[in-house]
Amino acid sequence: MKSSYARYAALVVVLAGIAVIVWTAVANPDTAPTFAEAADPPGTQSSPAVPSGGGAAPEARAEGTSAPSPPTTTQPPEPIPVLGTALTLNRLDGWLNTDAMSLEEIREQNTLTVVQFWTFGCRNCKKTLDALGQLHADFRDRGVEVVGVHSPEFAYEADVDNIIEAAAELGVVWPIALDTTKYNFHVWQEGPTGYWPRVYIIDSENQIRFDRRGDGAHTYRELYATVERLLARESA
Amino acid sequence: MDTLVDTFTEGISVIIWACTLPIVVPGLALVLVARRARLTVGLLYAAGVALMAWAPAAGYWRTDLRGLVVVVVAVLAAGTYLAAWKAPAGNSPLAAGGGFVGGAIASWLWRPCVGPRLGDILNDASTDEPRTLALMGVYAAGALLPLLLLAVLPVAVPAVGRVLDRRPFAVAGAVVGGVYAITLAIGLYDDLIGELYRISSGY
Repeated sequence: MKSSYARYAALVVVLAGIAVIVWTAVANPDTAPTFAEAADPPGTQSSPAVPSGGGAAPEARAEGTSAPSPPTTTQPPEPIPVLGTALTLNRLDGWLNTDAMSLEEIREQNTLTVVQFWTFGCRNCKKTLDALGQLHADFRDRGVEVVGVHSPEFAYEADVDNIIEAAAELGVVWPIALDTTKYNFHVWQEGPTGYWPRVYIIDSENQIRFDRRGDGAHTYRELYATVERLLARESA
Repeated sequence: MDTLVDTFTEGISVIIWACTLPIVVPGLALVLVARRARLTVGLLYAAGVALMAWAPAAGYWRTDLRGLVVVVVAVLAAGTYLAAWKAPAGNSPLAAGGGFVGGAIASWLWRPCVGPRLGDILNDASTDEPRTLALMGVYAAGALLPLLLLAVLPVAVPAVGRVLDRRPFAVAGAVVGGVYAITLAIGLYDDLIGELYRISSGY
């Protein structure tokens, strides 16, 4: 009797598991997380993403509204911490979409540099490209450059022709550093595990001011807001 | 609760992604090999994956897999299949050890593509350890659901269990495990996974 209960329980678990897999496949389409999609619940925004001349804030743009209302509380925003000194990019196979030959060259020409580790076959990376494209378009003229460090996971992603083709298809117009051997992927991401995508902001003093893994829309909204705040401080 | 559900479903949604193959394929093979201890091996494998995926982000495991360590890990990986094969029952230390170590090794080799929930877990791992570890367990349960179902299925439907108990299934699991250990030892593991993905995606 006891074993038949266990059997029925196991059967329920199996059927439920299969149902969840099917439901997830059907109800969870592989959509890009736009800024609007993962907007924080009202009243929980930590950063005032108010546009400052370079374009509407992501939330406002995605929802077709004007700039969001100022926060009701008067607490000053938390300071943006320094997370360490940025490394350079070594042993690259070259660059695409730029005449620059090094990260230093790009940093010297800009106030802030947003560095993202990605590979074109990574779905999570692809989901972030619209957000990065918007950041690039909004801040390019204000001294912010985006650098995509392309660190391939698999052999077909290491082929330069494939990278060029994929970059064109995906609308990646910002500089791409070819980290074919994943040397920088592993050096920047200390420890045994590196992640795609991972994004950093490097300030004018070569300090890391932002470091996040994952493709969350909230992550990229926070990236946008942090760029705005850092720019405001740099110009103050 | 929403976080738990979202984390679990995000895990499920990446099951067939290339980035997840390095933890799914060895686990399926290990469960196939463990004829008398599938459930224990499957559950402990998932626990090993979760712990080892979480530990580096939390700052506890920063050992790179290179040099002699690779060979040692390859031998260990082969050993987990032997342990699972030899495990006489679910309560055997061989089953628990084989499953857990197997999961930990697979996770050590895993370089995930990170979605929003996994990203939050990894980003917060060093500052909110208990919560993020628990959530990583939930994520692993989702990502490894096929092998967990394979482990539960023989209990639910004994006829399926009798089929899976046949030697060809265990041999197939052992072959996958052997290829896994050998390609790991000679540095071709990533290439193998990439080729599997390329073939399956028709790229």
